[in-house]
Amino acid sequence: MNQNILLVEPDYRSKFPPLGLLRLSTYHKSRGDAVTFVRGKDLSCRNQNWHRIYVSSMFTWELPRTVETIKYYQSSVSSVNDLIVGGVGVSLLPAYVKERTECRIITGLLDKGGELDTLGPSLLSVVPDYSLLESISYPYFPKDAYFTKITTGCIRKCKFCAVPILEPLFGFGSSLQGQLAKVIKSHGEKQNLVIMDNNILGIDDLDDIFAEIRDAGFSSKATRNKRVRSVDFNQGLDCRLIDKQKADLLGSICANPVRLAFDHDGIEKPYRAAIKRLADVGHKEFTNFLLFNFVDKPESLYRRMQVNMELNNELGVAVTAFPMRFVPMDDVNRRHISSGWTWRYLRGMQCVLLATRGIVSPNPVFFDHAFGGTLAEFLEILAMPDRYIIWRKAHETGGAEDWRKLYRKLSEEDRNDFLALLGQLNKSRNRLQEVQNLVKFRDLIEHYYPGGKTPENKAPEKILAAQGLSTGYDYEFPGLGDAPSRTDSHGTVPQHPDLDIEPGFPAGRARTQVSPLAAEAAPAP
Amino acid sequence: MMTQTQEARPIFGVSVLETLTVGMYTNPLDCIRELVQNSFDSIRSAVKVGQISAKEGRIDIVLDDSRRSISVRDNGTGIPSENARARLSNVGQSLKSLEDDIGFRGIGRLHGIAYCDRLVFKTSVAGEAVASVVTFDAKGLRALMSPVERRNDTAEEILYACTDLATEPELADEHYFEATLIDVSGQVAQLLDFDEVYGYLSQVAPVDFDTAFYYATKVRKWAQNHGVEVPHASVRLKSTKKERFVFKPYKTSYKPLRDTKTEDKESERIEVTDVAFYPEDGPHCNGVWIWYSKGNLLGQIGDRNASGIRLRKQNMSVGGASRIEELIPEARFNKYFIGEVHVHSQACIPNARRDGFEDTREWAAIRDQLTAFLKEREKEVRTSSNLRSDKVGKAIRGAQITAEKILADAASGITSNQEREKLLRTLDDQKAKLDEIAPAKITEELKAAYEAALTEITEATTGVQNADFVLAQAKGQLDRKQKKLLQDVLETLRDCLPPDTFKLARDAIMARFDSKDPK
Repeated sequence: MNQNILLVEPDYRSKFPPLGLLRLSTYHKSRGDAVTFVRGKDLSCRNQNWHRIYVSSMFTWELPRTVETIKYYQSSVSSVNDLIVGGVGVSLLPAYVKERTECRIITGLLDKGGELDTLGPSLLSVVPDYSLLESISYPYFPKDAYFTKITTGCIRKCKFCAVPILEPLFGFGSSLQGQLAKVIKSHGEKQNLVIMDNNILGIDDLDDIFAEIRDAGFSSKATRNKRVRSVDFNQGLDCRLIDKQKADLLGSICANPVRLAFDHDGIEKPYRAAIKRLADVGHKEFTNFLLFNFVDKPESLYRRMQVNMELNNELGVAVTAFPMRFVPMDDVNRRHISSGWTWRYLRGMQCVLLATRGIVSPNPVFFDHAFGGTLAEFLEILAMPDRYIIWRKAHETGGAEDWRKLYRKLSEEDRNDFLALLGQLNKSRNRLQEVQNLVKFRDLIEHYYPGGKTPENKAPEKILAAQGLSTGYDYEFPGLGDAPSRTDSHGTVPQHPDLDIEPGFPAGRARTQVSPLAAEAAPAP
Repeated sequence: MMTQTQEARPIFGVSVLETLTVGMYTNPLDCIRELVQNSFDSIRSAVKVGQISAKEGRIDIVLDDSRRSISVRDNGTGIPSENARARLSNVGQSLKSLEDDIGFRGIGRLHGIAYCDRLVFKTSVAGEAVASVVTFDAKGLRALMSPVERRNDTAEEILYACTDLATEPELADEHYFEATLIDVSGQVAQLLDFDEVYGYLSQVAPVDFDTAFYYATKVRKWAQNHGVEVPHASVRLKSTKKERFVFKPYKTSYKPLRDTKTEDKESERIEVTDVAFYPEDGPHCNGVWIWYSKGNLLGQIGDRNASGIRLRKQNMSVGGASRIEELIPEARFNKYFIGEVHVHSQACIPNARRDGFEDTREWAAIRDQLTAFLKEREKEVRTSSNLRSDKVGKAIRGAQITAEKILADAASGITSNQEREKLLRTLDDQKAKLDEIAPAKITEELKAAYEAALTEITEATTGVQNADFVLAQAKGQLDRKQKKLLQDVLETLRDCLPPDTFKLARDAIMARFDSKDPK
């Protein structure tokens, strides 16, 4: 029978196309079905009967919104079995969705065939339906690129990463050549190449794989139609594996951006070595993921940012860093505060990143201004009231100066107590009262909560959220529902290889986009 | 009309053309229906000659809002190149048969001239390696047809001047007909609106029921058993954003038209709980058969695409719900139902606008049948409404609902004698309420319901009196003390939980024991 199929991506912020849904589209179109793709809640689609609705899921902290979306379409199918939910979020936390909705939950990869329909194909072998992206006005990125994956799983078992759960076995998946041939046949040639492997450098036949990349038209400095082509290993490359030989391989293709993770202090040596080797083969621009709020401390984050500044200086490269806050695999609200961090420091990081648009610029002047020239300055910046961080200039001579005088007087022990108090007050439902009852820290608290209240030019929560610096910790703004939010990486690899790993602008461009503190993004106080 | 007599032979002036294209239909969407109708006929011929199977017939409709075009394409027989131009530009001269085909007048396909700049027909038949492309300069035609122009040309001359024929190479196996409206006027935005077109097609196109209508199987089976054919085609609508196969708009649950929804409470839904047929024992030679909904008849159905029993011939609609509503004084009663009147009498012919039937003797006879049928429906609605609204009706309905519920409860077992007494008391109360109603107040319409309620109360009473104890299921597995304890637990649960939750809990507990009804 002719079937009407609806594919839904909940309207959380995502940049990378939902490849699972695109594969389902190809699968259903091959059966002669009619396929419609929407993001979020679409009233006219809800009013129709669908023979199947598929809802994707991504990050666990977006599961509340995903559940809302599932419920929204519940009455648009004839049987709960026809409302199918899959993807990373639900694979990590199926119980959360199961308890709240009536639908068919599919966890893990659909790589064996027969999971959806008896005799159905392995969905991983199905070419994504690139044409579906043209039916929607949402700006997915990258455009005009092949989405490929050569290996599955990862050789490592990092505790902060979802890959070992989602793809427990490491190994070769399918050849690049074969994947590209299929895409070209049904959707034509593409400009760029995205390779979504979790840890491709761990596989044995790298020479062959890189030869295939070059043969496909992506050797170093390659162009097509007079435009520069690029290869993006969008899940990042494992710096520990980059020896001379692998650096040469990477030098032989037009990799851009080159993404490396610097997840903890322990890998400083191989990280430095990798950048050096890659610089030697001609790569000058890097993007770098910095995991924080895991087992690290703010000191470690600052140290790692400084290593980047040193590398820029020594090697004449530009490393643009993206600090990524760790969120546990079972977290549905992003309020996790690790033992090495405090609420105030995390919040402070958000505010700084708001001003820098999420990046750590390789420009030393910008860096010092945003994050401080020393560790002590960094910690002091993080401790400041939100508005003093975001609108630094406007508050410098007024409040910030007074605040600093008071704050510097505190002993180390008092500082710790004070930071803890700020975390407590943030959660408090009785803040006004508590502030009024304060004796100790009364003057300092006045800078955060003038008269016990939230200051008038408080941090722009909506913009924070839209920039991905969501108000995850802030109990005062629990209504995260309508604010789109960015993804926080779990380090080297985000919760799912197919999905958004953000922000992805190449370093060269990022430098021009970054502005010193109090960027255009932040409204004037 | 501007008929001029330059010669002895009558001439059709240009305004005839205008009347038949620009002036013929009231709803711009009708131009899509006309094309679908032609496609459907063409598919049926292809099936008849064995070119495709009935399942393979396909009509693809594509709305392209960036190019402002609409195309309707079928995989029917197509038209041979030698007579493509003649057959496509002739007006009112169709080769189709009155009996078998849905369209037969030969005017509908030109309706699109009213709404676009160019109307293009492209067609090819199997065995010919060419496709014929006939293009109408619709914009030019409209200008020439305009009464302001006061042209003296004949309709034929003008049509000929604005038509262009070309051929293109085509695969010999291909057979299709494709009509495309190019540069659709911005004034008829609905023609490019996916939801509008979908809603329209779901009402008029010869398509199948959707899976949301559970009684589709019953209707199909009934039709099959009584030897009536309901032809249908697969129609797919596609826009740049959406894509769907078209199905009839029927479901089994609807919002009421007058939606009294408040913040915390959704209004009760109109449920379709069955379908019935007319004539019950199959369509004799009366020319029609009807399926219509049974249900709670809570109000007029809120979905305008579905509400009201409607006319169809060869499974294509004839007029909307309003056509049938003319037959009864109070049109609203039709909207309490969903349903279709399939007219299969060959002597009933849809009129040119397809908003009604030609006034033949046969149609008049059918109309009388329909009027009687609708009066019955009206009565059904009134009875059901009385049962809900007036005091007497409410008492009767209340008694019925209570009796049904208690009877079901009793069948699944009771916990204690205490519960038995409580249920009996409730039934007595209901009975007393019924007895209080003065016989004079029981109207003719409610009489049957009143009697039924009394019977149900009696049945429920007997049921409760004979009900088994739930604990009996656990016989042999519990000693007296345990039994007493369990009984206390159940009674406490019954007292503190809402009835439905209590039943869930009770059944869960009892499921641990070997029940008589292994669930």
